[in-house]
Order: sequence, then structure tokens, then C-alpha cells
Amino acid sequence: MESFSFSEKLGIWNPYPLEAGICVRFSLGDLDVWVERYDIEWHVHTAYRDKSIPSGISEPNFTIQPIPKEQKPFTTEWKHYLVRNAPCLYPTPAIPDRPLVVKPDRLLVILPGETAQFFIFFPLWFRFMVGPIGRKVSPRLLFEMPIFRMKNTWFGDPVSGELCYATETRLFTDFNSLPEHPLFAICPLRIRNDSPIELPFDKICLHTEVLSLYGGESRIWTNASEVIFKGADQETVVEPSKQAPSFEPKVRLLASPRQVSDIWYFKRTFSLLKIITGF
Amino acid sequence: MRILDWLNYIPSEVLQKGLSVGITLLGGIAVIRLLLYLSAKTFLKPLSEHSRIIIRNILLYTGSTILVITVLRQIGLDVSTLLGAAGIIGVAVGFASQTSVSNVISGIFLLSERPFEVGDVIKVGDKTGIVSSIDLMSIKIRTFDNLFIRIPNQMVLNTEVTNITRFPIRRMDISFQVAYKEDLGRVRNVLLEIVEANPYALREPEPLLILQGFGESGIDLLLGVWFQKQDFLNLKNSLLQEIKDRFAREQIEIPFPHRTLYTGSATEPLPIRIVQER
Repeated sequence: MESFSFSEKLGIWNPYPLEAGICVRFSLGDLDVWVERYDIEWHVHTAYRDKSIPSGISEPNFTIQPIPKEQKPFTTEWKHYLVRNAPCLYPTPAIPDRPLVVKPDRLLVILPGETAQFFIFFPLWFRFMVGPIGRKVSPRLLFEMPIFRMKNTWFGDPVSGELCYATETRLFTDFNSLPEHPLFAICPLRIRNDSPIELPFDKICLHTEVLSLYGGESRIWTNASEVIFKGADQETVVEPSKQAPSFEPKVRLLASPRQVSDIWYFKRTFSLLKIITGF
Repeated sequence: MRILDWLNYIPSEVLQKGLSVGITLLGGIAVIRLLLYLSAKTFLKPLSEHSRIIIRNILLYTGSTILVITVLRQIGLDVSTLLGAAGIIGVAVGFASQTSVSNVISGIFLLSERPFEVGDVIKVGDKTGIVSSIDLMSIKIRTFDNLFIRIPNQMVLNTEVTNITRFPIRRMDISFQVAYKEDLGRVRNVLLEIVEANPYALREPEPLLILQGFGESGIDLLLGVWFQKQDFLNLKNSLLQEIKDRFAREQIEIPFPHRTLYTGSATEPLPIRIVQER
């Protein structure tokens, strides 16, 4: 395994060797993770600070802080993992485990024959991986969970639709205005309207499970995707690029897709179909 | 030694036939069981539980019928005569066992119509439970308080059956009242905030709020919240508690029946003075 470290802005994703008997609190977004390592055991407790579901992009805050033993949360919800020869924590970003219904902050209408480039922000998941120092062998995954609590939603009709996470985002069209955030990923999305009708982009179902994650200088990216809309009654073609995103000169692969797919046809990418079918 | 002596009294022809029938029976049962085992491990594996039960029953009943006919022929009984006799007996038995026949026919309709499958939660009449098997004569359900209920197929076919878990999402309708003095716009906003914050409620399809009418003690409201079918209990318990707690915090009154007594249309209500008991 290649050994590397991120810049300070993405420092939360750097390996963290932990001495035995030391308790550390990782705070990422809404999530607090208390970690304590013993000889062959990792003790972990997780909790969300805010019970409400956040909307929009939150502040890019994260901290890693050793805490005295008396400040450890006194609860029975600590989990103990038995792992040998794994003194180093490898916090790793991950794609959500379900598709996302992304609702932009404004309604954008794409006229027939037009192509638009967007950047969609979505919150990441946290993978708790441990292994030997220096990545001599691949780290082992202990658990994964969302950094921000996300609301469940349904996309499509109540019989054949699918369960997704709902997320609201500002619709960025300019690369230079993109915020630098270690806890959110950016999906470059190009939408081509090949139909003779207007395409109202009020929300989109983004199948993030087929996307990879890449780490840049100060942002986390997915591979780019192209969506070709051919009409409300025809299948919409969604094609994820096999290449790493080209918006930063140097990016590294952080996580492979949860599902492998070269091209997939998906009818319910846009909500336009919902209007026509009456749902 | 004594057993062998006893065998000498049995004619060799009968002994031979008996042995042959025994071998056919044992072999036949073994073949049927092997067939059921192999089918379960091969082509039945990817099918649904419902389809597996149907095909398994067809194999079992067909195999058993063939085995019985084979054995009867070995014994020397004329099967065609027997079938003729069976026809006459069948009519007699049919009259006597109309209910059973009706159940079997209803079972065939149920299997082909497939209103529910094994594992679905259904409501038949006032009984609700998880379907554990669908057979030719009856269906079996396990209730949530772990009771086993056998419902004859005829009854299932003649009764309204609700399949609660057929679709992946459902809507929970909660009816309640708020006092006439309340600002309905504020009530609506509070309810939508409660639904938005509940982890079991889906954001879309959007929650439904209907002003149903003017009740005796307050305004009747209906709140419809969509959820994943497995979250029924979690949503119901959390949502009702959150509505009660939040209404208490916001001082929104959920009224209970009021009675105002008048001595006449133009008079003030009767003055009542509460006297403390000694």
C-alpha cells in the first residue's frame, strides 16, 4: 500500500497512530468518535452532537483531541473490537450507501440542445479502519457511518421507487467558487438535454454508489458523470467517467465504488417523469 | 428361528409379492425424497418461498399418486376398476366433504392469484400476522403475540384480505384535534417541523395535512406521514410522543370534550364553586 498524507485542510483523513491506553476524540461535522486502544482491542463510542438533521453545507470543522480518562463518556454503548497488530487508525472517507436525491437551492431549466456543467456537494461517510503503521498491509474496516445525519426520502412512485438520502445543496456552476470542505465530496455533473422539451432541474437522483472518491489538494472529488436526457418517456442515460476528475492537477484514489457499473440506464433520474406519471 | 418357522406358513407367492411391494414403496419414497432434495438444492433455490412451496407440493402429490398406483398394480388390483369405483365413491365423499373440496379449490385460486406470499404481513378479518405457509387446504399465520392461526382457504377467498407489507413504503394517518383558539398556520408549521425531524419519516412523498372538519370540541386534523414499512412501530411511538411534547411546549391545546351548561339561551353559564372536601 502506498503511504501518503493529506494537506492540513484534509488532515482529518491522515493516518493516526494511537498509543495504547490513550483516549482520543475525533469530531467531524455532527459526529463525535471516542477512541481508545489497548493491546489487541479498539474501544469505540460514537454519538451525534445535534439531533436535528442539518440542511446545506455546514462549516468545515474537524478536530482530533486527546482527552483525559475521566472525560470519557460514561455509557454502556462502547464497542470493543478485537484486532491484532493494528496500532494505527486510518480514517477514510466513503460514499453514502444509498443513492442521493439532490435538491439544488434554485430551479434551473435546461433548454433543448443545451449542456450544463454543475458541481454537486454531498456529505461523506466515515470509515473507521485500523492497521499497522505505514500501510504494510491493507487496513481493516471496523465500521462506517454518516458524518452528518441524513433524512430518508423516496424517489419515484410508491410501488417501484427507491429509498434514498435527501440532501440540499447550493448549485455550483463555477469551479472557482467551490468551497474547500474535507467532509463533503464534489461530484462534477454534466447534463445534456437531447430532448425537444425543457428540462427543469429541480432535483436529481444521484447514484453515488457507482462513483469513486478521490482526494485533491483541498477537496474530495468523485469521478465526473454525464447525464443525457432524451425525453420524459425515454430512458435517461447516466454515464460515470472511468477517469479521475481533471479539475485538480493531482488527485489520489481514496475509495473504490460500492457497486461496479460502466453505464447504466435509469428512468427516474429526473423528477420530470414524476410530473408526467402523476406521482 | 421361530420367525422363520412362521414364514413357512405364508405362501411363497404372497411373500414374494409382499417383498416386491415393500421394495417398491421404500424405493419410491426414497426417489420422491431425493427428487424433493435435489429440486430444493437446484432449480427451486432462486425462486420465492411461495413458488417453492407450490412446486414442492406438486412434486410431492404427483410422486405419491404414481407410487400408490404402482403399488396397487403390484398387489394385483385393477386400477381402472378402482378409478371407476373411486369416481362413485368420490361423488359420495364429495357431498360429504364439500368444505374440504371447497378449501382445496380456493387454495388453487389463492396460489395462482398470489394476493400475498410467505413472509408478508396480512390482515384477514380481525386477525393480523405474518404468513408462515400457504397450503392447499389452509394458510397459516403467526400473529405478533406469537399465536399460530390456521385460516381455511375458503374463508381467505371470501374475506377481505389486506396485505400490509406488499409495497415498500406506507402512509401512517394520525387523527387528532386542536382547540378552536389555535392558529392553524402555526399548528401546520409545528407539525411539519416534527415530521422533518423524525428519523423514521420520509421527506418524500411529502407529509399530508388535512383539515377534516369542525368537531364537537375542536378542529379535526389528519396528518399523513410516509415511512418504510418496517419502521411502523418506531414511527408511531416516536411521532405521537413528539406531537404531544411539542404541543405542550408550544402551548397548543389538544382539546378533550367540553360541556357548557346554561340555564337558558340568554343567560350566563351556571356559576360553579368548588368546595374543598374536609
